[in-house]
Amino acid sequence: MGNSWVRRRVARTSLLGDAARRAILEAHLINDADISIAKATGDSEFAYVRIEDLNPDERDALLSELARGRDEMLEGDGIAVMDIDWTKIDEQEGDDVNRNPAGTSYAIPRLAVQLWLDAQPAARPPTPALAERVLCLLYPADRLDEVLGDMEEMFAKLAGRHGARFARLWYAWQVAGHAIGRISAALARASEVIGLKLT
Amino acid sequence: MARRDELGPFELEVLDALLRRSRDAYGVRLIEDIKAATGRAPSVGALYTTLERLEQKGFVRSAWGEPTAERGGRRKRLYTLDASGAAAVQRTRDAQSVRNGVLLPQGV
Repeated sequence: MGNSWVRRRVARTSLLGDAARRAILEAHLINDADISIAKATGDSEFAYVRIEDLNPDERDALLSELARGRDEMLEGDGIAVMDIDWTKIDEQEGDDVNRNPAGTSYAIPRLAVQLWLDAQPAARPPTPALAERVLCLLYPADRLDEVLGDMEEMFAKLAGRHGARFARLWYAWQVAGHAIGRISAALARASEVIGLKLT
Repeated sequence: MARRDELGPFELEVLDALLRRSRDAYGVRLIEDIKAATGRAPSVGALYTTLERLEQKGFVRSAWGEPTAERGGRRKRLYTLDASGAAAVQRTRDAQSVRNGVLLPQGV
């Protein structure tokens, strides 16, 4: 199974241990798609791109910094190689991500790398169970793959971008929308039937 | 053309999104496409309700795609625009143009 990754808001540069640095280099050599690079777009917001989508200068800068294995934090926040134990972070958000237990600091201006290794498969927050059960009641069984799959995919994207709490609120809000839509559609169908009987 | 035969605004947005996306048109992608085109993301429920209605009208067809890990192993439902759907889009645009006092040649 290959490495996978999630998007995460990063407020400042963070830390990287030797194991994670090796993992990044190995993963890069094996499969670019297993690593995600976060490119700073503002003070604390990052848009995520893959290594192959970086321009040559950015790519060279990143790889040379990784190869050098520098231990100190660089001034000017930008590129940060993240060694994150997602199981410890659980559902915390934002700055909490930066509390890295690895201890060794490592930073590169302008870019951030985040790894989510297979060792932490539980890092992806689960969709809200109750809301999911409501969806199961609203849709026939033959549509549940589509509905639950789409909702899970969007939930995971939002959780990575804005945090698990935001994603859960979004999910609940969407389920309310599903309920209103399904009930309205049922009422519309019922009124059509009644209308036909009356005429 | 009677006005009730025209597509609603959201139906038109959904069919427009299907017109632009020739492959991998499923719920998440359609929501992203509609957001990119209109600047606002529709609710997932509203999209399904509309797709269901459009399918009942014969304007779109759907088929199951492959399950993926990011969807928890669940399958995508892939939508394609039917010829009658494309015609409905054209009819609606023509009718809107007439109402707006603009007559466009066929196919524009």
